[in-house]
Amino acid sequence: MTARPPVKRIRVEEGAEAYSQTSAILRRLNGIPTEHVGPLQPRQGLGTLDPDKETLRLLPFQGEFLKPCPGTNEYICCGYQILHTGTNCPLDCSYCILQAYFNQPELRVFVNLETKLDQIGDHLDRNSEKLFRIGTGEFADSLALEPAVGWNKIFFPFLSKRMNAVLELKTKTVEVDGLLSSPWRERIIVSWSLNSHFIAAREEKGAPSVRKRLEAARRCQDEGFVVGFHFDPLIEHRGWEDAYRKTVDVLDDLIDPKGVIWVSLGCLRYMPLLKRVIRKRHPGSHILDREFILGFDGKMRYFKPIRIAMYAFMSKILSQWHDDLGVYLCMESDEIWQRSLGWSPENSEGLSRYLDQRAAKVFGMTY
Amino acid sequence: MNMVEIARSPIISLDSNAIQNDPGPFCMSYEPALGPLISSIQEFGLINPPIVVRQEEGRVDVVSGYRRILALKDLQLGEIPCRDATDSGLSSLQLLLLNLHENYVTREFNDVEKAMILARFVHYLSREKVIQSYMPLLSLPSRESTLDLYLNMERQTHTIKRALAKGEVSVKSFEALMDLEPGFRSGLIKSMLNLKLTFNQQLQFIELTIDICTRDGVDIPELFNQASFVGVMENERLNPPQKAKAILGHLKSIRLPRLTRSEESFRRAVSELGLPDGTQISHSPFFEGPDYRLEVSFKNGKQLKDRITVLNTLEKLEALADPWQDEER
Repeated sequence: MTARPPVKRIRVEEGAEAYSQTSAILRRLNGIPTEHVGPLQPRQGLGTLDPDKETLRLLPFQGEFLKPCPGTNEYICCGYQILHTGTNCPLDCSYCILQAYFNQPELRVFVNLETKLDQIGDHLDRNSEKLFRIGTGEFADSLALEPAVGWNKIFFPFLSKRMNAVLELKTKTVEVDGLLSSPWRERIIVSWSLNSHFIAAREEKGAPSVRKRLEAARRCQDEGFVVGFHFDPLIEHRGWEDAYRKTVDVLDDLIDPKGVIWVSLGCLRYMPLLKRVIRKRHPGSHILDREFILGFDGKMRYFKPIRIAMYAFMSKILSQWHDDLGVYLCMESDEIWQRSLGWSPENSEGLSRYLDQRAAKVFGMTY
Repeated sequence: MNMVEIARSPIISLDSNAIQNDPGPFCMSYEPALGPLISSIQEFGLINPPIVVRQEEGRVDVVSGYRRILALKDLQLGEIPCRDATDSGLSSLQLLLLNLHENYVTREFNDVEKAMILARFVHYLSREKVIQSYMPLLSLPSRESTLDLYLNMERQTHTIKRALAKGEVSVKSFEALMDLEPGFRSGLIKSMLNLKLTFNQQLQFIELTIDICTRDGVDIPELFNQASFVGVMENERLNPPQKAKAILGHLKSIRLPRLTRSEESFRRAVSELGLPDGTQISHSPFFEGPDYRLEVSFKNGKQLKDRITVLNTLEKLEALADPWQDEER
């Protein structure tokens, strides 16, 4: 049974009342105290560091809804397109980048997205030669609020008419009931962020265990969904090899590797600003203990040999599970690709091509 | 009575002992340098008498001219000529504003003085008003976190305030220390002052220290009581910059052992190459890039050719490898 998200109050921002998505959400969350409010004034500086994960704010978003992932020239980017459904999520992972956006607290849902889908559709149609890999999991967990927001009812029919787009829903949760009850499967990827059991238990507060996530993935696979996995962030900790091997063992137990579209690997990285936030909000966390250096993109990342060792190990154990998982690295250099995986797409265009081909093969698309 | 009327009011003489020695609720000078003012008063006398108010309990607070009063006390004047604003009808906030504006147009405030001003204003005004109206006046960003930082600064010990006021410790360094327990904060600042660290070095020092202590579960005194640190600090042959370099290097080797080993290994390998004069080989920051860099400086084509020829004959050159490879597990 689907649980309602742990929302204690709802704030309907000025202008949000006009959208049917607002009514639908309020209906699903009937009984939760609701107030109508003006726009939130952004906080400046570190402030109280309270992300207020118990308040759901429904608001119209004035910016671009579909945007390319903000990769950098210095590292190879996958060329993903972000569908901006909202920001923040009820989980509280110690490493979460969203903690740096402390000037925008609360669980923010952009209720006017539905009215912009035609524009997005036009954009996809105008670029019919291009395959769009679209995801909603960049600024929020794709499924954490799904029982309340029901995006699948909006996105899936939209996607069913778009032959040049795949939609990836990235999550750490088990909120898949809405998806499973929908009739749509084509060009939809449900993917899970995975980690070692140790990291999941200590650093991913509020998230289900790795096994529970993979049981949800199994249900999706059984019901005809294509699935993906993201070992991101990989975190160096005592006994990490065995710890990550155990996660792959659970994958082996529960998941049919032939139905996996891709598996990404990305070592922990963070904006320098986030360090103080992590120390204050998660004093027991040890994720910052290992050797970090300042990368070319201005983020802190593990010293090169650590990253190479972790990727090489993960690649090895994943290939022992199955030899065609579409393993790729997130935001890494050509050198790291070569040294850890033994091959490289050379640049972001090459990686985009590789992932497009994976999608085309899995969904029988011609690209 | 308005401000102009105060300035025109008759001058009274007050026993210097009756006037508070501390800045009181209206003044915003922190340990001012009095030398030039004393010389001026000695030569020309007191041109502009200070303004004071007498409080009900008998205390005399300075509204304006705190530094002049300190100078006059230093000159051991028994009686100090003042203008009395006790019956001016001005509120405490107005008296505070009087002082602010008098100082604002004549000098710059140091960070501790800005902290004093903000601490006084939050007593009378909402935080929002202080942030929006007065922080820009003090050339500070209108941020809650900046206000909190400065209010915290106002509560620090004199040692820390003095270091900040004299510019020996940067505000950024102070901010980096804010989350530490007061005792550890004072200890680190004392070490930074002893080592005469530059502002950049201060930030490195703080970050490395906190990282190591957090990771290893040791407190700051425990870390610096280790023989390796004590040895450097007590080494009389080293001057402060040498000590600073040694301490920072040692902290880095503890915090980033693999990177440090790689850098040392690279330095050793390059030094063993026997490079010709005017040439050097360097690596990218943290070895993050894949390439190394060879720089050859030369005066003319012949010298360049000679140096390339020597490089070409270096036997060990081909063996130069990524020093960090040993760090892959």
